Amino acid sequence: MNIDNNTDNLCMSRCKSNSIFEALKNAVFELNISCNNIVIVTGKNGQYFNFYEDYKNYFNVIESESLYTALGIKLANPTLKVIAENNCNFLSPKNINEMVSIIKKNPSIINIAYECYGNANKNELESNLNLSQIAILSNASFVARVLDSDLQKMKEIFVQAIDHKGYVLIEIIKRCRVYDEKEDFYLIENDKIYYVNEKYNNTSKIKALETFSDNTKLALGILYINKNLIPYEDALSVYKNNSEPLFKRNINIEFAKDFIDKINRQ
Amino acid sequence: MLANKKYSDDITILISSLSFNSINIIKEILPPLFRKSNYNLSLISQTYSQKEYELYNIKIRISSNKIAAYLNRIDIFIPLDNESFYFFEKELTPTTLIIANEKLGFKDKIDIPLPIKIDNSKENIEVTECFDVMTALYALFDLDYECLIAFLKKYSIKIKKDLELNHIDNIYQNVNKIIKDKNITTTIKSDETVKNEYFLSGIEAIISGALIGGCDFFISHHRADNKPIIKFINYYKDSLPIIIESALDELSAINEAIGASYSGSRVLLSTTVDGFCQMFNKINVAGLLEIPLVIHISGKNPASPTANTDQSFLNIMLYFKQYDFPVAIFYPGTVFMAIEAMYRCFLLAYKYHIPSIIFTDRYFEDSVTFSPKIDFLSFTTNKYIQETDSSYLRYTKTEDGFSPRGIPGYGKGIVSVNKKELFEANLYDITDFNRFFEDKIARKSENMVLDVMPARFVGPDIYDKLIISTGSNYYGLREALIRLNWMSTSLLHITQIFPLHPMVDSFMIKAKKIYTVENNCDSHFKNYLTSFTKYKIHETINKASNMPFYVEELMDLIRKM
Repeated sequence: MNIDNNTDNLCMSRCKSNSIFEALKNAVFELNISCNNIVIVTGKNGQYFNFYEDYKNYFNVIESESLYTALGIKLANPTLKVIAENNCNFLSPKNINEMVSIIKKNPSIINIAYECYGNANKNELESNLNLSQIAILSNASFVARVLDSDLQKMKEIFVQAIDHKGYVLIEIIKRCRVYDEKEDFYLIENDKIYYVNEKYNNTSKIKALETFSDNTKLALGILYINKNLIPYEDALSVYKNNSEPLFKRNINIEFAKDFIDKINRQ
Repeated sequence: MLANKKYSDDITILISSLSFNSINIIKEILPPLFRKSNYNLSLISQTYSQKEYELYNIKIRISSNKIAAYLNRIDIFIPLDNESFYFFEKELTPTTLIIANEKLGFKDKIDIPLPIKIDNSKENIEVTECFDVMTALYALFDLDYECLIAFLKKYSIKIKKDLELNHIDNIYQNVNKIIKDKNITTTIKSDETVKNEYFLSGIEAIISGALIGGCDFFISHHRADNKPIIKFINYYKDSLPIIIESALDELSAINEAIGASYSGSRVLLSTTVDGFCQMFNKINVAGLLEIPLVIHISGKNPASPTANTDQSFLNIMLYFKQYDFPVAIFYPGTVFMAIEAMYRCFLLAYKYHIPSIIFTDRYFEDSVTFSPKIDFLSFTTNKYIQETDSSYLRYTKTEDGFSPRGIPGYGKGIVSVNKKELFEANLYDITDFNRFFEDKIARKSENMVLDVMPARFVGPDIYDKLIISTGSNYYGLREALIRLNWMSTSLLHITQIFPLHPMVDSFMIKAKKIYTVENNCDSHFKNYLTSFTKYKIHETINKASNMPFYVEELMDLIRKM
């Protein structure tokens, strides 16, 4: 038996694409946001660690594979822009469950989810569980889909996503390099993708669901936006009278004293 | 029928019902009424799950002295329904005074019957029967009638119910007449110092301590058995300056806690023993990456039908670590200890960047006891956060072992918390990294000793035997030893079980024989003390029925030691 000891053959580590972080970097510069206000939540299998050396001076990063970590960061400090990165194993019941429960809360976090397609699994286009559909049905406020090789489009979407208030799902279509050794990309070669045009009404939920249910071709671009939903962090009573992030607030011993007096059964 | 009975100094009252609401109302109105009359009291609510129904009961101890231990004895029994009476019938003695509604099926056994009031709605019956019980107790203890009426009026307005003064007056007069006829007297001395005390439940103490510790983010998860704490904090959610979050499950909860802590908030994560077991890996990662966390574990054993004092999880708590990092573990037994332990939990976690774990058993959470007032000036308000500059590294090498904790968005630096950063910030060569890591843990552990919570020592300074306990056994052991006039035995109650305070050794060295008291079969605490101190534990008193140690039981066991 031939066992290839090359670690590059392991799933995910070969699946490199620095275009995502390049596009993110460009979007952040365009929006003129300080880089230390961006936090990336990523697991050790995520793309970020593949390019750790290139981007470690640009973004704060925490190692965790859960969307809930992103939620915790955002709620503790709403001034931060939080980006959660999920690899293509994201479509596990546990993760979907987590995503749906987060979408219902609608915090302002950007969830980048990779969808890998290739020649070997081209049938997945028809049979795959559609992440964006689930997100829209769960009432997500911003859903977009983009090709990882299209740096410019990706940047444009990131610019809008960072500015958006509420949960953002960006599905990034990638070629699966683990199961697909060939250079051609099934989706591009066979003309299976297209960008939605300017006439596309991305505020209509029904239209978005129709677009996503089209199995013959994958629609790309910003496919659904709902700006009427209140972001979760804005609804929290803690931030109603005081918008300061939690770490800037002092420990209020006087409040604790008053609270104990209040609950004391005297 | 009971007659010529005199109750003095110490009375135990058991009120039992099938209705959860009734017991809750009594739990809400009884303590302030008796505390207003300057009485020392303690209260424990329990649930007995039966095959066909659940029985809720509340055991109140009213005393001339400051005692709060659990007694097996029942002096006054107030069953609110037939099931309650028949369930406890075997535990009643000839001296037990039974107060009950005369409509119930055991009419001939009732010492003080309460008149019937016909009411249509179930809700009204519950409120009325609670008011009846309170009135009967007030008459029995010969307390101020005007005070009772004023309180019940206020409570009626709160719950939007009408108070029928004629009925209350009727009960008060009836009970007064019966106790005069039968010559039943109660002489409990009131205590003026009660006014200067807190009277809180275990849950309230935990949240109070958390507020003093600076908690601003509370996370729990669904499927939790830690309902009391979630219920309590949600009740006050509008007035507390805390984010209250409920995560999807245990893993989501710990992940959210890690995120919030990384982002600079002071997090309290509430879970159960089962939940804690599912979080092991993530807590270890947090410990390795120096993310401060405070985890409260509510010790309800789902398999147990009774009030829970189960300590069979101690081994899990003490030995959960996969990696090397310092940790602080607390197991308080009284309200005062819980407030201080919770404060120290936050202090240690955020000063030393470690996970702190606090465990409370259900018995402690449900019991309401007194506590001396707290000196609020002694608490620090430092958040131990540093503004970062552009050269900031989260795991930078420092002389004292503490890498300064930066927060994303606070300063010009980039704050990255991951294994790669941990490795790269200190990687000169691999040997150097290993040495650095060992050194860091050792220095942190050394410094932590300064902030460890001291153990509580009670008893004579010169002793032959030393009993070491942890958790909710403190009041029981203390009262048993006081009743036995100490018998050359002292008690050392350890609230912070890891790391141990250095003084623990100095108490152990003085004793000829050392004992531990535990609510488990396998003597986890004994084994732990044996391995972490150099002294031999001679014997362990175990009880694994999930019920607390009764004082009477402890006295017998101490006598045999």
